[in-house]
Amino acid sequence: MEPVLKMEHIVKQFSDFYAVKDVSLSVNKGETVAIIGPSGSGKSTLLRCVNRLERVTSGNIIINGETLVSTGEDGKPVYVSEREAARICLNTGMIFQHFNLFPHMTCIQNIRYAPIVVKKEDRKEATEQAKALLKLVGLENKADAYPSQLSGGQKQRVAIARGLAMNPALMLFDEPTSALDPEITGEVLAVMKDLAKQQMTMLVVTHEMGFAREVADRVIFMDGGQIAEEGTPEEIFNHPKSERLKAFLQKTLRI
Amino acid sequence: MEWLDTFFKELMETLTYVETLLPALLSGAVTTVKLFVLTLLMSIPLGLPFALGSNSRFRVIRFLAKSYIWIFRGTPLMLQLFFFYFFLPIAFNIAWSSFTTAVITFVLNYAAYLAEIYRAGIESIDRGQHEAALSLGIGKARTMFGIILPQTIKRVLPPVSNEMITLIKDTALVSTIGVAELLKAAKGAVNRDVNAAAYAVAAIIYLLFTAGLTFLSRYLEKRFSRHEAKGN
Ligand SMILES: Nc1ncnc2c1ncn2[C@@H]1O[C@H](COP(=O)(O)OP(=O)(O)OP(=O)(O)O)[C@@H](O)[C@H]1O
Ligand SMILES: [Mg+2]
Repeated sequence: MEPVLKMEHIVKQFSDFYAVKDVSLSVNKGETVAIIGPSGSGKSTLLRCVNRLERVTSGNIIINGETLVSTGEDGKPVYVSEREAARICLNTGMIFQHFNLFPHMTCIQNIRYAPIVVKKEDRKEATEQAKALLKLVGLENKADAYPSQLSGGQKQRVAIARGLAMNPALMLFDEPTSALDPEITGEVLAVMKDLAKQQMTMLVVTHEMGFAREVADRVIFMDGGQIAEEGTPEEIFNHPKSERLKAFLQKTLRI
Repeated sequence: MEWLDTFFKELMETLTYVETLLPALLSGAVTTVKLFVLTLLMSIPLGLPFALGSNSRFRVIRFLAKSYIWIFRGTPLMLQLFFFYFFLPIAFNIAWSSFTTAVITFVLNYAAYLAEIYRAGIESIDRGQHEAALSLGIGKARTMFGIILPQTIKRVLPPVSNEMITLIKDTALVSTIGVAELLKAAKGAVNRDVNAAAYAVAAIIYLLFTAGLTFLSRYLEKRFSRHEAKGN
């Protein structure tokens, strides 16, 4: 079966610095893949290449069988037209570290905005769907609250609902809990766990080793812009092979 | 208590004198308000295309918008008044009233200042807002008008109201091209009667305007931060 996401030989350069150096990975339907690794190892950059928040320096990205970017003969990336790219990237939703909710809209407006203006969904149906999604993340009583009236954990759950409203085939998470107080990361992780159980396809950059170990089907360890090791949670956490991963685990799990 | 009598007598005389000034000063004030309102109504929307233009992807548009802003912010408003007073009749070959000239100059000038305020406001919105919009497939124009600009309004309200208070005072400049606004009316009375009371009355009228504006801007700021119940 065609993977939901295929990234081949992704390179991302910022001026003369290589943030991602020749990374290939694929995510299959229903899979939860966690990316872990030290700060600055290129995890976010790689994730942001998927939905063109960053433009690759070279490499291929294929989403749901459709090519977003490929490498031309001169080694330069060739993106499909902006219109096509937008359509292809509608297969992905992204959850950010700092939520990025629209502060001038209520929760329900945040969630239904894109379905209405992008997918031209009927306003009433979009509202109903938004309500259902709020219920899914346990916030049905916050429909008319503004983001500023919510706690961090609640904001992130609304952001997840907003992402799900576009019905994406792949959800991208960039450290969804690292801006939260430790005691409320649980409510967000619980929602993500539910999604994993319901066979949502997810690519999750995370510092939460517990989540990666428990929920991920596969764990990718990045270091220095490359994939240094990859395997099942069991392999990564209980039988790390490389010295770099061993050192990383020792450092993170000790805290 | 002779001094008290004299005091009251003088006070009454002054008040009677001020009353005779009022018709001229008020008609000047009406012109001032007209100039103010017309400038406000036209420059506030006109600033937006220049703000968007100075952030445009297209080099030529960016260059034109930035040049416009630079020229109108970089030269004295009074020079611009004189220039248009002289230039408009030649350029269009018709006589323009000095009031129309004043309105045109002020609108063009204030649009440039407002454009800079808008541009700064637009750029102050967190990059994450653009990224969230892009991740949801919302197009560039829709992002600007549906997500960025509504958040910008609240941020630019204070500097825009400041600009409008400056505008009230700047209206006095147009007396130099012969528009009979408040300051010119006051000056006429002072020169005629050799009595500075008209200046004092004019000052009070300006102060009332600026106080009203300050009040209005406070109200608007409150209204536009409704959704900021607490925290960020
Ligand atoms: N826009 C940019 N311009 C220049 N350098 C950048 C840019 N974005 C990221 N980098 C650099 O690329 C490297 C990888 O950054 P990235 O954010 O992908 O790391 P990360 O693995 O997500 O780290 P963290 O765990 O701290 O979020 C870092 O050294 C960073 O400084
Ligand atoms: Mg990161």
